[in-house]
Amino acid sequence: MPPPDPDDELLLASLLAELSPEARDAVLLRLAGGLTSAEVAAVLGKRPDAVKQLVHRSLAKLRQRWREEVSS
Amino acid sequence: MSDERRAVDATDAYIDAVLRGAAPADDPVVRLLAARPALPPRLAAFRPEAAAPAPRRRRAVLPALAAALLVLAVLALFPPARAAAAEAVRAVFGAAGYVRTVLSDGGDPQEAADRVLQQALAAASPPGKVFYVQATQVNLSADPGGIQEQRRFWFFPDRSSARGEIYEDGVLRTVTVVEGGQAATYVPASGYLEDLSPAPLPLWYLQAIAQYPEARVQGHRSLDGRQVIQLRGWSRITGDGGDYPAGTTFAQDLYLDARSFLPVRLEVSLRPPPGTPAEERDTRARPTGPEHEDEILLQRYDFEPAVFLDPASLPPDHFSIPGLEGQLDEHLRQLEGFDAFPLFWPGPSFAGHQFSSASHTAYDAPPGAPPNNAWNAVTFLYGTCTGRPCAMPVSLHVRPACHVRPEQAAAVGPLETVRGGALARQGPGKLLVWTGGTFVDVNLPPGPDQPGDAALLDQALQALQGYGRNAIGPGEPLPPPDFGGCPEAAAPAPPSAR
Repeated sequence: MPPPDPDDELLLASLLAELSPEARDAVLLRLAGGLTSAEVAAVLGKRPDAVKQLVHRSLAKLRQRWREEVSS
Repeated sequence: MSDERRAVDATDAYIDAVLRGAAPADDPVVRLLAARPALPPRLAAFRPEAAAPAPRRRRAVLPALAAALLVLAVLALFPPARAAAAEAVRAVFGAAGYVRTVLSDGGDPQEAADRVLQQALAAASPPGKVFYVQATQVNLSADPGGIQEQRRFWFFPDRSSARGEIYEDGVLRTVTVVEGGQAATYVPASGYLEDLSPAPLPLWYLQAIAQYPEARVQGHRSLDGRQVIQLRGWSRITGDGGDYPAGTTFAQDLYLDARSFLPVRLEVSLRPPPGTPAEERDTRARPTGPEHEDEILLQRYDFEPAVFLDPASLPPDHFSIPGLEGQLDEHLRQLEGFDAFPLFWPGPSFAGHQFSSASHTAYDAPPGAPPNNAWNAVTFLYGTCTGRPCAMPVSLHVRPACHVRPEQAAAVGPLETVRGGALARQGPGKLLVWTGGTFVDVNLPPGPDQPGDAALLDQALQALQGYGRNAIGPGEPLPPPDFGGCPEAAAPAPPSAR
């Protein structure tokens, strides 16, 4: 896998900053931290289903914002 | 099962597959996130490998073996990602993203600063609260460790107004008020307006936390039990550095609270050029510990914690610029009854510029904040201001004479008596006039369409006339300066007649 492009990482950093702190933590723990949804739920004090939904929606928002930023 | 639920489960399964290496990350967001080798420290404790010794989760052997083979195949095709080079960038994920974006944005940096820092400010400042930030810095360019600069900022609850003060070695140097997208900066020591230019509020916040445009986020660390973000700004001496040899690197490390973004500590350090003998190092220096290795700490400042003031405790009208709202005739109408001190202006137009704005600013210090008489003025503006920064072609600032000390203005030019008032000239585009109990600061900054010259200043002086309750006409004699009602300490010596 090639090294991440710093510009891409910066863009993602700014998009993550647009999420709520809880959503950001959920996404980071789930994807970057490698925790399961149940583990993230335990950390955040939420139900696993709620974490799944939070990550799903946050990821969708990140993808949409990414497309908007890249296309602009 | 609803479509939404199916989509949520599909995303969860997809993430699991990507993390196992069983599925490719098919979009850049997931690819970047999944490739991150490190979490911010406050989250890293929750990472599975940190929770030893229990196994993080049960996995079937065959899927794990398949995932491992896939990872090996991928690694055979591509070199492993070098984490170190991007570590500082990755460290900004989450909490500090906005800082890094501002400092490295490839588009309009001002626009990016506006957008992202507004979010940060909104997140850090509870609605309805006055938000106070105090930061202390050292001006390395003048004398390392010599000048301590302290900045105090009040961000008001409406999120669109702010007040800032800059102190140097404990002396108040400038007062700036942001209102309606414009900033006015005063220099109380000499009492004249230094600048009038649009200044987005978020830029102030940026200035409060990071002065160096070449600053970089170094990463997260723990400081006195708090998670902080370390920003580093630096400069290197390439030529004659005076007391410091070429190759010396100066650095400022600014630590921000990872949650609130408020400054926690500032460290100023230097790194001698390679090969510098120990005995030739700065005698004021002392080792800073292993975290800085060969660097030498010059100064360390711990910031006072942020203070949140309850707006309900503020006196009414603690901060107002009513003249910046409404139509021009309304500006002037509001000032017709102004009686705090006599007003002067050069009429509806001057030097080819039409009157464009008038404002009255008043400030009563909030509880706990220092009082400041400098911010009590009526401003008349002429012409328009475009670009950023810029200066209005003609501006006058009228203030109580007691609040300005002409003997300090005399340091840059002799005082004269003209039309009966006291006058000081400052540079090619500024006049300071004392008449009666009023001080008038006339600014005609040189520009492409307005070369600064003494004749234009003389025209402005002759055009000065009373406004509202002040009936003095243009060219008529002005009352001599009158400091009789001033506190004794503020009463200056009378100027000598020309």
